[in-house]
Amino acid sequence: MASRPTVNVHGASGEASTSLPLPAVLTAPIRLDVVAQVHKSIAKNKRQAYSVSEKAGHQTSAESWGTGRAVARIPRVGGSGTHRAGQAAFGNMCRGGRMFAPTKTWRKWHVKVNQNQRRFAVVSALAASALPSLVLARGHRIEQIEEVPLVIASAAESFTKTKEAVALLKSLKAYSDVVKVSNSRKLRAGKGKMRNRRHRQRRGPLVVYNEDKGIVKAFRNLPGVELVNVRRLNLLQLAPGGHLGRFVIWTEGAFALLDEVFGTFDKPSVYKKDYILPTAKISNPDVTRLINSGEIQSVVRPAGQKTQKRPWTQKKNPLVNKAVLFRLNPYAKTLRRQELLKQERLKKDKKAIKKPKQGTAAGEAFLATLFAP
Amino acid sequence: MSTDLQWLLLRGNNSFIVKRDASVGRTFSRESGNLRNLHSQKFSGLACSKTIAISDSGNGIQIVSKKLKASPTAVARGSNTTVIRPRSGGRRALGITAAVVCKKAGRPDLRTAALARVSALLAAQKEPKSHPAKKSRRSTKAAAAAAAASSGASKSKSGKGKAPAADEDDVMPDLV
Repeated sequence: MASRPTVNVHGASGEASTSLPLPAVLTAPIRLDVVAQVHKSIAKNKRQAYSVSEKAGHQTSAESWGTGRAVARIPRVGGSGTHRAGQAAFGNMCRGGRMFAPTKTWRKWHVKVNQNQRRFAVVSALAASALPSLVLARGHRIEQIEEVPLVIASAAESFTKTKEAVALLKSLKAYSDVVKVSNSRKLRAGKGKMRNRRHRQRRGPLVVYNEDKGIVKAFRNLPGVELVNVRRLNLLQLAPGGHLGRFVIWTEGAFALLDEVFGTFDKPSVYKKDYILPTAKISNPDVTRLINSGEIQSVVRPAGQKTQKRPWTQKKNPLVNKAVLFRLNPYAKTLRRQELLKQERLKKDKKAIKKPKQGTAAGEAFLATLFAP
Repeated sequence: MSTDLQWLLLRGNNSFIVKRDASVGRTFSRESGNLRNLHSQKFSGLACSKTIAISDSGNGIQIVSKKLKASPTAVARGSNTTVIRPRSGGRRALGITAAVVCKKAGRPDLRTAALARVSALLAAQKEPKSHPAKKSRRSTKAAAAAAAASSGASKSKSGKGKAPAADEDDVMPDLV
């Protein structure tokens, strides 16, 4: 990417009219791990405290019976006349007892994330939303749209009717993503159904505007469509579930403002004090291009055979295999020959030389002299 | 953005990945540009600058290839579509495919995969040959006789077994 590419602005009927330069934030480094981790933390900040009652399981005057009654020493409910009398109480293993480690309202519900990390994650998510492959991979139906990032003319900000919004999305061929959301609507499993989370559905496009002249009301009733001001971009909307590549539809004003909101690689942001975009660790992450570059190809050795020939088919043991032994140690041949010759010579000598006569056993008369009379 | 980096971002998880059956030992991917439907960088229809999608449109096999000089931001505009007429035979279809894949799309490494996909699509379009129904080797008369004999035998057996029980007591249920 030698020159910064431009992005077309699409009019109400979907045709491209003018163009804008690609904001620097959309070329920022994409860090999947940072986005996932920051998302995990900031998604916790909307939680409400819950806990079991402080008194749960302790509303009885049970006391242990001590030893000697042939029952466990767990506290037992006193009295008689009811089934409850003599039953164990309090313990987490007891019926009607308290839970193990009762939940407390003072659990650490919120997680602090450093501001620079939060900004890094937002910037990464924005950069990912400008790559068609990542938006496709997140599951958005964008096969038919002209280009990513998708920018619409500022006239859309003064739409007040959903009918207009639908017509615009249809002309952009982005309506199939809304249809996908609509078809995905399912009844939620579990208790959430009765807690104002009755249905679950996919996420549709995120419409980012500069100034709300009715656009929010025009779009907000479309299933899955969310709207946000460009100054208040939020990771939970840009990377739902921590997954990169939300389909973002920008209005012209919002897109033009991105360089001010996030700054560029050398110019600090107007809205965020002293904030400069993070730079990538390597300027060209295209490894194939690097390997094939003239600088590297001029110094590498020429490519060898694609499949290296194996020097042997099977490893031979030189202690067993004579040929391998002789290859390793040429003197072994001489040694072996000498040894064989020596053996042969000895055999021959054995025949030639008579055995020296062996001494016979002592005579009986001599042995008899050894005994005491 | 480099395709290497895009592959690293997509590799772990995406909406097209299929790793359902661990015993298969492969991960599949069902995006449209993936000729072998394998989850790999080479065949990925997302993390490649040049991709080819072969599918069966209503009238003929459709080959959609990314334009070589398309802007990285273009989506629908950045692809060419070639449709092979349905009346063209297998040789012509494969020839067109090979030309598109190697020259227009610039992916000679995907030639075999593309040809295999087109062949499979062609084979699927063929009407299956109609064979005459196989005749049973047994004649129908003999088969009927055999069936009658077997049923008669089983009936007589059951009758014999039940006969003493019926004599002793009809009403009492069988306690064993």
